[in-house]
Amino acid sequence: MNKNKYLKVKKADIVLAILLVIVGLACSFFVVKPLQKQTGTVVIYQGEKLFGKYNLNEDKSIDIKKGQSVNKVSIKDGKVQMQYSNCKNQDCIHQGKISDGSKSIVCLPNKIVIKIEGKKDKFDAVSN
Amino acid sequence: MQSRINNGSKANYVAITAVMVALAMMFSYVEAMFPIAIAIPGIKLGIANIVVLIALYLLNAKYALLINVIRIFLVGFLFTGTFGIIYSLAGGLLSYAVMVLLKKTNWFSIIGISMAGGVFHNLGQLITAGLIVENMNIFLYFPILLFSGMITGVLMGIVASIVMGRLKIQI
Repeated sequence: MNKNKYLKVKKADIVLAILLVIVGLACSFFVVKPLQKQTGTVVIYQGEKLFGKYNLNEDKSIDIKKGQSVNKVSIKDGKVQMQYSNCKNQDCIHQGKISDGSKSIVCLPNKIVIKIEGKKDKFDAVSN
Repeated sequence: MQSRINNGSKANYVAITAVMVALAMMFSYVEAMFPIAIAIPGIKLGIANIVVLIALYLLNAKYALLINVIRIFLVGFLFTGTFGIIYSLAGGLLSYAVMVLLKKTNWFSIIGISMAGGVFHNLGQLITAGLIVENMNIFLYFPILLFSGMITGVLMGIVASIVMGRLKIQI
C-alpha cells in the first residue's frame, strides 16, 4: 500500500495548535480567575423596603429591630445565617446557612427576607 | 487504482449527498448512544464531522454545507428537538465556515482543519448557550471546551485522513 498522502501534519497545523493552546491558557488565567473571585452582596429586606446591603466576604453580625421583632443575622466565611429570631416558628433559623443566590432566608412573622445578589448561582440557568 | 463513481450528472451528486447524509446521521445516532461520559458535559467526539471533512475534500464546499445542514435538521427533528437544532446549527455553521476558510489557504492538513473545526464548533455552541440563557458566565467553560475541541478535532482529523487514504473511489 502506498503512503497515505492525507496523513501528514504540516507546519501550519502545529502553529495553529500552539496558538489555540496559548489562547486557551490565556482565557483560563485572565477571564476565568476574576469571574470566580466575584463576590456576593447580602441584601436584607424588611417588609417592602431595603434594610441594608453587606459584603458577603466580610464577617459581620447585624441586628434588625423593629417594634416587637428582633432578629440577628450573621455573615461568616462567605455564608449567611439567621442567628437569632424572636418569632414563634423559628423557621428562619432552621433554614440554615446560605452562600449563593439559589436560596434565600425568609422570616415570615418578622417580614424579613435575606438574599444574596451578584454571585454566580450554583446553577447558571436551566435550559430545555 | 481508484475507480470513479461519478459521471458528473446532477442525479449522481444528489445520490452521493444522500448517502453521505445517511452516513452522517448514523454517526450522530451512534454518538448519541455512546456518550463519552467524562465528568464534563458538552464534550463529544463529533464523529459526524468526519463525513463533512471528507465531503469537503472529495466533493466541494457546497455539498459539505448541504450534508451538514440536512444532517443537523434531520437528527434534530428525530432526536434532539428545537434546542438541539439551534445549538448544532450554531456550532456546525461556525465550524464549517472556519474549516472552509482554512482549507482555502492550503496551509493546513486535514488534521489541523479538523482541530480548528472542533474548537469553533464548541465556541459556536457556547455563544448560542450564552445568548439563550443570557448569562455570559457560561464562558467560564470556554478553556475546557477549547482543549476538548482540539483533542477530539485532532482525533477525528486522523480518522478522516486514514479513511480518505483508503477510499478507493473518486467522486
